[in-house]
Amino acid sequence: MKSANASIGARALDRLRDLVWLYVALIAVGLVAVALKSRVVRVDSWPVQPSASSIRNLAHLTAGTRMTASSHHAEEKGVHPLYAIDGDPKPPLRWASEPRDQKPWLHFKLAKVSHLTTFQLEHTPGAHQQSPRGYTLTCFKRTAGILATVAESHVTDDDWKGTMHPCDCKGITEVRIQFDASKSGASDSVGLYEVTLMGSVP
Amino acid sequence: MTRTTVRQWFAQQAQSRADARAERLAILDAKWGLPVWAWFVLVFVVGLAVRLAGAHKAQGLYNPDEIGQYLEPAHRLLERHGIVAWEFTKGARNWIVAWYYSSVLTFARWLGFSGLQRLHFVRYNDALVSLVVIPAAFRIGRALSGRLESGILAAAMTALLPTLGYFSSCAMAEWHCLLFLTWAFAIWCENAHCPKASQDARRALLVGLLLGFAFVARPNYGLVVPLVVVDYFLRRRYRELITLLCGLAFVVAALGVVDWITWGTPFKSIIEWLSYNIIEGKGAEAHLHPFDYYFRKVLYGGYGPALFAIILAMIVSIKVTWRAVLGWFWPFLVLSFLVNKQDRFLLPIWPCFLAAAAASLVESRELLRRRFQWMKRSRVAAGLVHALPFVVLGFALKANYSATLRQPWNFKASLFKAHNWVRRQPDLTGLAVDGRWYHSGAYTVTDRHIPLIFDQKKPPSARIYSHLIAIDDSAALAKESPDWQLLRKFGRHTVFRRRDAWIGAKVGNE
Repeated sequence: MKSANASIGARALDRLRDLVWLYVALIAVGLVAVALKSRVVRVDSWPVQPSASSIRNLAHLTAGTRMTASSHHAEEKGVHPLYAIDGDPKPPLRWASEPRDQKPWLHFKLAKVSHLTTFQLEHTPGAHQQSPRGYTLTCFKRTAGILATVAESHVTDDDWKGTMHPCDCKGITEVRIQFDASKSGASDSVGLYEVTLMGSVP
Repeated sequence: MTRTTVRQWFAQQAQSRADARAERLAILDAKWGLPVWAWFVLVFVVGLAVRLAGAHKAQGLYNPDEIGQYLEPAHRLLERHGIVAWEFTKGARNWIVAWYYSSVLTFARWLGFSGLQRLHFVRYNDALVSLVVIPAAFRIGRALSGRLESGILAAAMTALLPTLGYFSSCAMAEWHCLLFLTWAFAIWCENAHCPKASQDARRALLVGLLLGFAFVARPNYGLVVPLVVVDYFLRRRYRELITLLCGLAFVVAALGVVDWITWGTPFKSIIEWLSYNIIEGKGAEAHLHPFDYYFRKVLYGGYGPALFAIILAMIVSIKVTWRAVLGWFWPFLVLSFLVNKQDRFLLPIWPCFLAAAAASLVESRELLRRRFQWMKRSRVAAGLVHALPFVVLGFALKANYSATLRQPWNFKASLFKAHNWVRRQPDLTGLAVDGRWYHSGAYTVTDRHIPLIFDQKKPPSARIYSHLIAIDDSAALAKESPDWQLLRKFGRHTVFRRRDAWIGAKVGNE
């Protein structure tokens, strides 16, 4: 009985120790998964809502667009990427990138192949009045998984309220707006009250 | 020469591990009625039942810090978005506990859990992990008195204590501190009471590492370190003391590295913690209680009149049990001097208290038996004396059960339920809540990347906020407003939907 007890005890001890180490290993695996996870910020998206007009804001949350951002400044109140496409350009609700993000961007995956005709960004004033208002808007077409550039527009010093810029992007599926905050010299993040991408679905 | 020394060291470590294993197997082989391993199985099953019952019954929050300090930062690490508490902007917290929970949330995600299910997954995970403290309590109890009975009683009390069952499912660093601290005490007490030359250095290193982890989890429990250091010093175990300090320094240095990576400054979380609590004294702005609060409300309130029998037993058997007694009493006393007092701050000392209580009562009973030999002649008296520790601990358990029922089991439970229901609505584009963010579950429960705003005393005007969770006055305002439609009630909380929301209305199912 004594040796039977000892073997049961030994087995139980070994199993318990194995369980503890298994748990530690699982936590380590989870930590690696967290560390390797993409840093891209993905926001919710919704199906396309009906529109009375053929020309619409393709970036708006009712257009079925899926938006991602390089970062967002969660420590600030009234900041969320969706505020940039909610159809409300009034302060204070805005998107703002993290101050550490030197090359902030917003990327829009359009619901359908579209034609983009004009774009407008309404910028937030920076803390040092140096919030970068220069950016590059690139139109892409994705075919069979390959992303090809259709057209590019460079804006060097946009107006605060944002000018409506013309562009001619036909048959596009994605749009990226890329900023460069590294030259601004301040610890400002890029901020936008609203992004408007006017276009139509052929 | 060096190769031989290294080989010898490895051989010593292997011998030390083999000796430790042989010792453990001998203990498991021993009997107190049943074999010890059978007692462990029983105690684990009971402990698991108590903890799962606690995790199941708790539908709300014990403390907002569960969301604000641990789960929301964990969610932010995992999903790259989340609300940031001021401690995580100022650098007053390290990210280690948040990383742990982010790993747990990862598994919740992989298993398909979302929203409030993830919170429950974390609760059950914590309840299971908390079982690890039971063997440590056994080892403290057994080490103090040298009797299996004390160890088994200590393990049983740790498994059964309703307070531990309640707190085991709360996502707080106090629990992590409890696990590390209890195991540090277990190995320290064993080393002191049952020294084994082949294992002493290894044990000392483990004690140092575990005390370091306890400190990382809750810095205020660094006050236990001098207790252990002085004991080693007074016993003239200088080599082991140095090994212990090396282990402790390693963990603290690792914390410095983590803070350097995450905050840009080594030990920033400790510096900010000291600055906030000690230098600026801002820790003394909430939960202010008098000196005797812990004794009245927590100790006596938690264990009832049986507490006096336990304390008397501890005094009577202090020669044998002083390490474990000091292990709980020293933090208890120091924390009583701080004006900011919360029940959870004492959580890490309970297993040590229970082990000290079990060992003290058993020792006191043996002292009684030796002192009053005539008791052996009377069966009734012998039986009563034998049952003394069980009766006292039984009454303590009963008092603790009543005290635990008075804990907040459903604090903000209706808000959580409302939050969890709203998150499933496909037309949700933004959520406004009349309540604090750390009371509602924030993004941890929402589990949707949409704008959330809190403390909304009236319905918001921005159209992106498609839904509102309101209570009392804000609910009355929303009901009167033509722009908002009442969807569902959850206790005192009511869910409204904006009539002109961007996305067409599709009310989801439960």
